Amino acid sequence: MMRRVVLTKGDSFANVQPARRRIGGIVGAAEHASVLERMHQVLGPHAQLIATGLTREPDLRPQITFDSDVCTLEGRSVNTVDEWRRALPLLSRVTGAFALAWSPEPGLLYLARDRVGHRTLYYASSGSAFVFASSIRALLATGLVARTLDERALLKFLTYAYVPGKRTLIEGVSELLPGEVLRAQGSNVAIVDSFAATSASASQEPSDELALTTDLTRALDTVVSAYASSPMPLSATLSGGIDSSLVVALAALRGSLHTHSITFGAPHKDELEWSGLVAAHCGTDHTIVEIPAQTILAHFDDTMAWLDKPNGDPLTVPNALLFREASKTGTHVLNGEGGDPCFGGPKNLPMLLASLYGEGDDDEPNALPRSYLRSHLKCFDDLGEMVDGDLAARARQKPLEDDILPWLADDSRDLVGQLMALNVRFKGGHHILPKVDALSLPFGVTPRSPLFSDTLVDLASKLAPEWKLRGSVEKYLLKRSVTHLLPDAIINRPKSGMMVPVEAWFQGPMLAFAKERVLDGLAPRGLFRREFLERLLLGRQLGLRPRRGVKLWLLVTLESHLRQLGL
Amino acid sequence: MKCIRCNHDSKKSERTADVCPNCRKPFAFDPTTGDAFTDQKFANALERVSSGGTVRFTVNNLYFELSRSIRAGSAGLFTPGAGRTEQDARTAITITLALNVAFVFVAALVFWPLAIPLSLFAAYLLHRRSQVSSDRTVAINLGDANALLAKWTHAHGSPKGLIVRKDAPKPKALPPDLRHYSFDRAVITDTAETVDMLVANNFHFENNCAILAVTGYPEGVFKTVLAMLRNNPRLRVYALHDASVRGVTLASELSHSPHWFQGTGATVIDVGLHVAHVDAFRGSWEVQSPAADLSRIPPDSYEWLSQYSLPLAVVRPEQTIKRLFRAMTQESDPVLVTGAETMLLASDTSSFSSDATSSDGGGDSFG
Repeated sequence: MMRRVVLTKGDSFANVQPARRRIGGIVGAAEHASVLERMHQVLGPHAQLIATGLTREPDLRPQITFDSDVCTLEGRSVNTVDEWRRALPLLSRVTGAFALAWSPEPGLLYLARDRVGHRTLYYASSGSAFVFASSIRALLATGLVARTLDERALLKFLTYAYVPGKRTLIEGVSELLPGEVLRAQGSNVAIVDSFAATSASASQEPSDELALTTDLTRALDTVVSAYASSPMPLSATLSGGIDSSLVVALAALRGSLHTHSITFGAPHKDELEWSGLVAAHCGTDHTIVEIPAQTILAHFDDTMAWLDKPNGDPLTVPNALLFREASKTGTHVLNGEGGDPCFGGPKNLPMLLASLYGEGDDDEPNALPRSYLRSHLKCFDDLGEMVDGDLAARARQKPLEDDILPWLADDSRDLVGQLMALNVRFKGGHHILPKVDALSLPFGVTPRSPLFSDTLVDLASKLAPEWKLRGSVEKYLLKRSVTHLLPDAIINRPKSGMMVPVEAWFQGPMLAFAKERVLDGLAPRGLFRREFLERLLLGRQLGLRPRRGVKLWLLVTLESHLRQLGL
Repeated sequence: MKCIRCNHDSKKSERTADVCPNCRKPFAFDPTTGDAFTDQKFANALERVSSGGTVRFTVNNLYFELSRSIRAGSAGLFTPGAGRTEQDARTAITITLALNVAFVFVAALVFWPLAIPLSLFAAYLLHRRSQVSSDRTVAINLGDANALLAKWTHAHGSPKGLIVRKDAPKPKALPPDLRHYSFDRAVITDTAETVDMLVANNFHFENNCAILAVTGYPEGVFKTVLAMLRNNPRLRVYALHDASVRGVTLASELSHSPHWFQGTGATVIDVGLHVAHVDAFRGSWEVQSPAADLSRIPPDSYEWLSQYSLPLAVVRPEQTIKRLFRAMTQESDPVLVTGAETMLLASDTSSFSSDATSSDGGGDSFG
């Protein structure tokens, strides 16, 4: 069955409370009760908070708190307080999505985050107090954290469209990295363990194609089967690309499945031809969700309010609205995120070219990291002209390339392996997974990303590069492993990515909005050169590939975050 | 003369040692001492060749831009470089000359004092007519252009965006697993300079496209990249070249040579300069040395190619890159000319792009 809905402007979802569990807590503040209360208001009715080391009074709160999904330890589910307590000594072997905090004794707190980065935690120290939470806004609500802009995080956002790594837009507020275990006691805060999925070294041993294909087919089937287990009818987002299509095909084998695809309406290009083909092939209950520009605009600030770190992907608002639609048909929403970074998707071949040619006549060690930054196709090349002179000068003192160099200088991996490790961490742990986690919160649905599961990330990291790229064919083994599930047209279609018509939007329905946000909001802050912002809005002298719409989306996203964070 | 740094306008008597009396910074040029450029005129040429500072360019790109600036500065009555073809100019001058001679004859009979100025005007026209053929070729030589660039660099530093070739690119230690990969697109050029221009502008990276010159450049990766390309039967090759004896046969060579793509299944598309394009660049032709082998030249191109050549560097880099973009996105409908494996886009006579404007008769479009 297939139906089409046109989303009109609905109720704002900016100020509703999270409809899933969030966690938070505090070590060492004197007024912990009022701090926890303020944190609770932000984290919502499902929040589980922990406080320790404040008084000698017995604390009735549980001394372990977690936000988790599909977690297992050696084949057994880890989902209750007791199960988590038993799993603490073996955290590096727990698979699934989790953010965890526990206090083994008064005044001592540990935090942990899953190996891939499905769940997120932020933390900050203030005097003798240490606070943490699933959300930055909950930390700000405590009143213990100063609202100061982190300039380097700003530059990273303009380069990547997200903020990879520990930094956040608030100076002093840090993100726990995937696989890290943090220990906080008084003012002593340290990372005491790290078991990130990306730290596993790759195996380069040649293997038999049939055996590898069989292994991957079996692993895909097992993982999707586990991720598709839910008491309610499942939903899935479906673009019609190979990744979301294979997840839908495997999930549909297990029972009734609702699928959702996006279009932005005529005259904009979409992928409905492909998603419709997959939905029909798999027999799903399919909904085409049409999202006009006015609806995007109406829910722009709503969406940004849920993102802790800014995310300049123009799909954020459609993602949120799709979760709202999916919440009408199920409690869990599958997606195909992860196929590209794990199995050799786009951006590998351009990086190979960059490694072959260097950066034109620039052959310094930072050339390849610079290509990686440039490959995001955002504002990296514009920074010198775009940001205030003092800010640009400070950025030059510690180039953004420095953060990338260690990943691309890892001699234990070939370039494709280096890129996989980097992309699983950056694009997975800092971009895609936090995005789907945050944007599903107001609607109470749980996102699941089977292709980012520990099993498949580990399997992919052991594959020699020729199983990812073969000739000019990307994701070679992944495609070979699902030939029995999908039509040839889907398996062999060229990668296109979801096209969001930002260029058209900022020439028409969103231009006035952009002018207000960029010229009246961003320009007076003194972070940017007004002349550049005006040129961008007018579309003048922006070079061979202006990408005006993408850059404007980035800037209006940033302004929305700065306003909402009170910066 | 106006200082481009502080905008102060000074007279020669106010300046000492070619320094601006206001900001005390040096001028690169002084037309009163015979320089063909002012600093502003040179800066304008840099602005045009770099498309407002957004595109990187080679010394040869700048050389042709400077030549166009000189032509534009001397452009006047019936200057072909200002947009007329040679035939148009010759015809217009001849008609005007005939009318003028007839009028001089009548005026001499009726009102003889007019005869002298009219005769002088007729002599001027005769002089211009003789100049038309020299207006075909570049206004300066490369040595002059380099001297101008050196003067500019001395006063203002190296121009932003100028590509400086390293002396000898070191061979890279390429990882062995590269043999497994390939690319779906390649641009093959007839000069290393074009490779430098495209790579410096990140064309390879943005378009997932290998770039090589038939001269074996870039030396460090040439063999590896060619081997990678030859492994891909879906490869589309874009031949980008000068209008020269060597250039116009490039696409055919790539298709039919066993050293290139013969029998690999690759499709070769010719996006280079041909004789059909040269009128748009009159004033920038270079006189051709006697060619060794003209046997493979199409008959309709023989006459021009035996006398002249037109390097691709005459086209501003932005226009060359846009032409490649367009060829890659419109490749579903190319014109087939020389066989099943080679296609020619050269017969496409539209300009490079609708936003390409030229105020100096520079002919920055071909196609």
